[in-house]
Amino acid sequence: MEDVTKNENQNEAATAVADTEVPLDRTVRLMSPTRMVVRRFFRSKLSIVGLIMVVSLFVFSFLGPVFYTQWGEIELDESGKTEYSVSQTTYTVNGKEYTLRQTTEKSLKDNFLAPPSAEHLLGTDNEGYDIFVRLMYGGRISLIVSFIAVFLITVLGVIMGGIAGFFGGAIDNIIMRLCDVLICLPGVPILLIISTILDASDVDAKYRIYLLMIYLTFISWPGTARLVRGQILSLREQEYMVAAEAMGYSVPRKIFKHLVPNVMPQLIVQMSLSLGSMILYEATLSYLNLGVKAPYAAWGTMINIISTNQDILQNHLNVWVPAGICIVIAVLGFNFIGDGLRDALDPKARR
Amino acid sequence: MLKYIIKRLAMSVVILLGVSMIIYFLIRLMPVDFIQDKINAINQGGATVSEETVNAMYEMYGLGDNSFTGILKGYFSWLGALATFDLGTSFVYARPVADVIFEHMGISFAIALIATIFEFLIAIPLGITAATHQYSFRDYLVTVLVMIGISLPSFFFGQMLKDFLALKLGWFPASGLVNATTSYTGFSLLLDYAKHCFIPILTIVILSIGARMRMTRTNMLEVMNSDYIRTARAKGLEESVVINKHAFRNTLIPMVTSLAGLLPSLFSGAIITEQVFDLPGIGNIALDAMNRGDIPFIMGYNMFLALLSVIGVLLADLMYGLVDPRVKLE
Amino acid sequence: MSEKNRHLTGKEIRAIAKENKRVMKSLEAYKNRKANEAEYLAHLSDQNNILEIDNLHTYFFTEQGVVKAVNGVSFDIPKNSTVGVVGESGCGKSVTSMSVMRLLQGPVGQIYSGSIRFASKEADGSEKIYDIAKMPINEIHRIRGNQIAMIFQEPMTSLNPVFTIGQQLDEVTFIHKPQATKADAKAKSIEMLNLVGIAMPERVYASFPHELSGGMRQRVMIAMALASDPRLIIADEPTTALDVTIQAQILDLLRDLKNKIDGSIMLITHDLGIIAEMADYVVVMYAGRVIEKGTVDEIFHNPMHPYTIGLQKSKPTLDSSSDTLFNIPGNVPNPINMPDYCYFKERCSQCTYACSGKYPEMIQVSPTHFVACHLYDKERENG
Repeated sequence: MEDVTKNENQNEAATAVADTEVPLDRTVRLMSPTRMVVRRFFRSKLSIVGLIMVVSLFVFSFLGPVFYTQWGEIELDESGKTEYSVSQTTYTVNGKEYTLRQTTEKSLKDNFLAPPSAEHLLGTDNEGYDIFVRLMYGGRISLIVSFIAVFLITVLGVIMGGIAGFFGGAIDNIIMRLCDVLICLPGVPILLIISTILDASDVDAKYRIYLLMIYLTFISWPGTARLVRGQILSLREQEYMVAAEAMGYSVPRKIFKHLVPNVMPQLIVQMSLSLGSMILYEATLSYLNLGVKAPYAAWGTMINIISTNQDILQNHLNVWVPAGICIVIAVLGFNFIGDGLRDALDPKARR
Repeated sequence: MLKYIIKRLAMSVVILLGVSMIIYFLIRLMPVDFIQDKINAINQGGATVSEETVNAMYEMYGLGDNSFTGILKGYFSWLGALATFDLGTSFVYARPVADVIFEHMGISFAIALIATIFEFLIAIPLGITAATHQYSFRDYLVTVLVMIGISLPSFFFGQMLKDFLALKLGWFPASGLVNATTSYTGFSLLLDYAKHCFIPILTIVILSIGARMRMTRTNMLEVMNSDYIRTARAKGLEESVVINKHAFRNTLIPMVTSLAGLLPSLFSGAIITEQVFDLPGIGNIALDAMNRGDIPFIMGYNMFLALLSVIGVLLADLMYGLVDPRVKLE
Repeated sequence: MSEKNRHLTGKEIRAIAKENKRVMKSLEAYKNRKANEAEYLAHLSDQNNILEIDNLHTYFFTEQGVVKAVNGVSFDIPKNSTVGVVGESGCGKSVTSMSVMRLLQGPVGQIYSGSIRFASKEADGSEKIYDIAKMPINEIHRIRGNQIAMIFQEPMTSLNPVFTIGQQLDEVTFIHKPQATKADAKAKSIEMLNLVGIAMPERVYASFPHELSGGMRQRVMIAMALASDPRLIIADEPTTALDVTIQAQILDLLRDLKNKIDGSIMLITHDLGIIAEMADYVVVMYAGRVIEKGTVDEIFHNPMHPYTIGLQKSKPTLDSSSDTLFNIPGNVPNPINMPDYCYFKERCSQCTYACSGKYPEMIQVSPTHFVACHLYDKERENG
C-alpha cells in the first residue's frame, strides 16, 4: 500500500515535467562552440556585473572629464577664506590674573578639505584639488597603463614562449631559465630601486609610471610564455601534427594554424585577470609614492596622503575612500570578467 | 633522490646568479653623484654615515669605474662578498645589513606564520564545502568572497580596518608593536603584542584567504570528478568518508606542496601591511631604507628575497616528491 | 531552409535553464529526503530474479535540453545468471548501470522515474526487496558496494593513487564487517587477490596503484568487487581499456568467478563476442531503449530486430569472404530531440509504413524473447 502512494508521488513529479517540457522542434541545431561560450558568459550574473563595472569606469574616466569641466586635474580651488584663530594665555602676576588674547589672521588662498557640496561633488583634498575630477583622471591613468602593460606582456610572452616551444633545445632551455630567474626577482623591492633610478635621472612626473609599468612587463611575461610554450609542445605531440609532417606540410604553418585557436581562450582569460592585477600594482606603486607623483592624480596617490596624515584618515573619509572604492570596482570588474570567461571556456564544465 | 637534489641545487645557484646579475646592473644604473646626494641627505637626517662605510661600499660594488672590465670586476667582488654572507654596512643603521635583516625578520615571520595558519584553517574547509556543493548558494557566496578578497588593495583595506577598529572604535592600538607609554613584562607584554598585531594579521588573512580558497575549490572539484572517487562511492563508503578520506588526501598534495613553497617567503615581510600599521618588521624597515637611498640595504634585502624564493621553489619540488607516491624524484 | 539550421534562441535557453532548475531541485530534494523503510520496500514480479529494472527513465538536464539517456528501460536479472547488455556507445547502457548503483553525477544526471527492485540479503539471512530508485541517497550504502559491486571501464584511473592496494581493499571488508580486525581484513584481502589470480598477493597488497600494470589493476578492481561477497556484480566494459591478451585473461577470470561466487553478473559491453562467450541472457539497447532481449541462443541464432541483425553482421569474423565490414548506415539520433517514432527508422533497411507511426511496443515472441519492432506487429496480433 505504502509502495503505491510513493509511486504516485514520484509520478506526479514526472507528469509535471512532461507537461511543461520545452517543446523543441527537430530543426533546432546544436549551438556552435563560440555561441555557447558567449551564452554561458552572459548567463552568469557575476560576468555581467563585472562587465557593467568595467564599462561604467571607462565611461566615468574617459567621458567624464569631457562633460564635467568645472574643475581640472591640477586646478586649485582658490576661493579659500581668511581664517582667524584666537589663542588665550592667562598669567598671574602678584596674585592678580591677566588674560592675554592673541588673534592671528591667516589668509588661506586654497579651499582645502572642503566637505562635499554642489561646488565640489566629493569635496576637496588637502591641497584644494577637486576629488571627483581627480578620480576621473586617476582612472584614465590606471586603465591606460594597465592596458598597455597587459598588451606588452602578452606580446612578449607569446613571442618568447613561441620561440622556446618552436625551436626547443638550447634556445628553449635558455628562455626557460630566464623565466625562472625573472620569477625569483622580488617585485616591489626591485620597483623601488627602479624608482630611485628614475628619481636620479629626472624623469618627468607624468611619464615615470609608464616607465615603471614597462619594467613590470619585462618581469611579468614568463607566465604567458610558459602557457604558449606548453601549448606548442603538446601540439607537437599530437598525431595529426606528425601526420602533417609526414605529408610534407610545413610544420610552422600547421603549428600556428592550430596554436591560435588552442591558446587563445586561455590567453584571453589570463589577460583579463592580469588587467586586474596590473591595476592593483599601479595603485600600490602610486600609494608608495613611486608611481604617479603629485600634482598629477592617480587612485593610489590619492590614498597615499593618509599614511602620514591621521586627521584625514579619521575625519575626511571623502578624501581617500572614493579612490579605494574605484580601485576595488576596477579590479573586481576585471576579475569577474576573467572568471566568467574561464567558466565559459572551460571544456570540462561543458558536460 | 640525492642526484636529483644536487641537480636542483645547482640549478638554484644558476638562478641566483641570474638574479644577482640583474640586481647589480640595476644599481650600476644609478649615477654616483646621486648616491652621494642620498648619503648627504641621510647625514642631515641625524644619522652619520662614516667615510669608512661609504668607501667600503664603493670598493665592494666597484662603483666609479664605469669601463666594462670595471663593471665586471665590481660584480665579481660583490659576488665574492655575498658568498661569505657579507652584505655590506647599512647607511641608515650603521650596522652590517645582515644583522639588521636578522633582527627584524622575527616579527615579520611571527605575523606571517600566524596569518598563514589562520588562512589555511579557514580557507581549506570553505573551499571544500564550496566544491562539494558546487553551484549551490554557499558555492556562490564563497566565489564572491574569494573575488572580493583578491580584489582589495592591501593598503586601502588595511587603512579602513585601522580607521574603523582602532581609531573609531578604539578596540585595538592603531600602530606600532608595543605600547609606548607603559612597559609590560611577561604575559602582559605578550598580550600587548597580540593586541597590536591583531588588525595587521586580520588584514593579511582576509586578503590572502581568497586565493587559497579558490585553489582548494579547484583542486577539490578536479578530485571529486575523478574515477577513483566514483570507485570509493561504489564501494559503499559514506559520502563523508569519501570526501574526508579519499578526496581530501588527494587535495592535500598541492596544499602541502604550496605550503612548503610558502615557508621561506614568510620571512620576507609584508611591506605594505607593515607600512600601514607601522610595524618594525623587515618589510617596513626595508621600505624606509630604500626611500632614504640606503644602497647596501637595498641590495642585501633584494638578494635575501631572491634566496628565499629560490629555496621556496626547491622545497615545493622536494615536498611534491614526498607527498605524492606517484612522483619519483630523478 | 534557413529554418532548418536554426540555433536555440536566448528565450528558449532561458526557458530550458529555468525548467531544468525546477525539475533538478525537486529531484535532488527527493534524493536527499529522509524516508521510512516502508517507502522504498517493493515486491519482485518473479521470485527468481535478483534485480528487476522496470520502465527506468534516467535524464540529464543539460543547457540545451533534457537528454533522455535511459528512456523506459525494463529488464530482469535472474539469480545466478549473467546478463549481457550490448549496444553502441551512447545507447545508455552505462547510464543504466550507474542508475542501479545510484552513481549518477548530480544535479545534472537524475533518475526521473521507474523502479529498480533489488532482492537484498539481510544480516539475518532473510530477503528484503528494495526499490533502489526510490531509496534516499543516504540509505544507499546498505546495498551499494555491499550487495551490488561494480567493476569500471578505466582500471588506470579507478584506484585512488595515494593509498596502497591493501588500504583500499581492506576498506571494503571494514564497510562490510565493521567488527573485523586489521588482521582479518588483510587476510580477506590477500584471499581475494589470490582468487583473482595475482601471483604475489603480499607484494601487490603493499603496492601503490601506479606500480601495477593495467591488467593487474583490473584484477585488483575485481578483487575489490568480490571482497564484500556481493549478490550482483556490474562489470561496465571491464576489458575495453586493456590489451587483447590481457582482455582474454580477464574474461577467463570473470567466467571462472561466475562459477565460484554465488551471485549474478550484469556485463555491459559493445563486444558481441564477449556476450556470446559469457552471457546467459542478452539485452540489446539502442538510443536509451531496450529493442530486443532474450536468451543468448535466441539473440544469436534468431535475431529479430533489424538493429540486432545489423550488429551481428558488423562483427568481424576470420572466415568472412567479404573484404568490407558491414556497417549500419547513419548515427544514433540526437538524444535531445528524440522523434516520436522508432529511433532506428532512419537507419533501418526494412522500414515499413507502420514505422512512421508510434514507437513500437515490446512484443513477446517466446517466453523469454522480446522485440520492439513493427515488423512483428502481426505476430502480436496472432498471439
